[in-house]
Amino acid sequence: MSSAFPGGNPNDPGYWEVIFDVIPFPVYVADTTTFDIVCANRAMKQRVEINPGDKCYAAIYQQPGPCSFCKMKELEAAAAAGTNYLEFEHFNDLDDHWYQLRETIVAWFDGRRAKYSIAVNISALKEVQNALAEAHAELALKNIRLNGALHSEQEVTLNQRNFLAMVSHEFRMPLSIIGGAAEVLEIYTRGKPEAVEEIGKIDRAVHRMSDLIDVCLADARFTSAVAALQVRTVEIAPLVEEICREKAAFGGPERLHLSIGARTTITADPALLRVALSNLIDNALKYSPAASGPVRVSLESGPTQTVMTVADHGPGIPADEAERVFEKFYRSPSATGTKGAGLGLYIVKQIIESHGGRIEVGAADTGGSKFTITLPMASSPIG
Amino acid sequence: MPLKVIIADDSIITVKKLLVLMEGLGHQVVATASTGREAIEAYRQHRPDLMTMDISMPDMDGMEATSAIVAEFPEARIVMVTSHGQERMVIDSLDAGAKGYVLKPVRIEKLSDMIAKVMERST
Repeated sequence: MSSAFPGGNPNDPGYWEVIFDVIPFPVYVADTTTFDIVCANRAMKQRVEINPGDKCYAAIYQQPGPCSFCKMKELEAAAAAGTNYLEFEHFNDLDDHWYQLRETIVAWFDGRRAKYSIAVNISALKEVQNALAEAHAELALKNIRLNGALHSEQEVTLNQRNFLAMVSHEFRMPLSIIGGAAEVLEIYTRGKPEAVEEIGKIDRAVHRMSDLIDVCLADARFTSAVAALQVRTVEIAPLVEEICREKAAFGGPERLHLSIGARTTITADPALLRVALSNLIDNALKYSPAASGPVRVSLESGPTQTVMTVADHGPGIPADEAERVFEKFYRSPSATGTKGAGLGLYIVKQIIESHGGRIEVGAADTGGSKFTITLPMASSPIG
Repeated sequence: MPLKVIIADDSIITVKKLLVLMEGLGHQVVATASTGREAIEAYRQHRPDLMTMDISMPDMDGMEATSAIVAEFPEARIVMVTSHGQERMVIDSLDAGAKGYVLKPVRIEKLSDMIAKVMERST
């Protein structure tokens, strides 16, 4: 075989140059101790100007001293462990190309230890890999931002919930004192009509305030991560009747008109459903002027769903606000002059939707608004 | 709007290339650093609008330097400019607080695009 090459003698540098020249990739050999170039092939010389005796770090990488990425020590360590080569990828910032380098420790024919390095340009492959890595980076950055936004929102929600819980508690304390005192007063003032009337006012105010607190608590409960519906079979008609009875006790029976069709049961959280229906009726009463006729509540049950409507005599809701009235803290411009926090309808919607139902608002025959709640017979809670 | 930029990279060649690219984009390179510690000092001194950071540097690597700078200046806009494209490196750099990631070879369009994104995100 050796006769196939000029010289034919492995101790002749020309022998190696011919062998290396056959390799189409850049190859150089350097002394492991002095970093002197021993020889380089044609492909290497086409890449950089390189001559025997040059320091490899200066000639190839234009570094003032041994390169920070030089693998000479690792090569020696690998050789001592029985592996005489290393393969690795390297970005050469001189020519902006990626190379796969295979470096091997050899005993050079003149007795020196040397390494020879073969470089294969893998820039095209790396370009694809890097595009993928950059895309992952972009994705990771988006995730970081989304997580940040989510965290902030959760923090705001938590603060709001804590605040509401605190406010609710702070209100309940004096309310229960007022309510208790009213009861005692009632005992002391039996038989005095003026006093009974005044105590009745206190009692109604306490109840109204208590309902408002329920609204706040319901919102707090819904924003809670642990909120879960406590569902059971509920007879919907008696529930609505009871709510209407309570409302009529304060507003007068002429203020509410209830009609009930077929009676049926649904699967629901009765406490939350009570909050929702109560809220809706309260709202209708609040926006209907005193002598404007009764708020009409109807309950119809079909084979697959229960539909409850509440029609008032209020100013009505413009079509373009039909969706917005259910947003949290939204207050219609037409609601000016009526007290409210913009939470009631939001909570109603949350409760109804958590039961797999829906709520819509449209115009009532009475001139005001008509809210329609549709609840599935076999309620499928999503919360 | 021209940005005040610091380039941190232990390769003189990369620093020179990035300098040319940054100036080509109309930005002003106010300092360069070749180690992690130098990068931190340069940041403290110049408070740049943007810093490019290499991962592999002597004495303190780019990730440690990024963590230290972001801990001191949470609003710091640091873009990793590196040849390390492994998934783990990318994620670790972002966890360290980097706001962007450009892999070598750095092309002017790629750099300009990343700077625009980083600036947009931080406004």
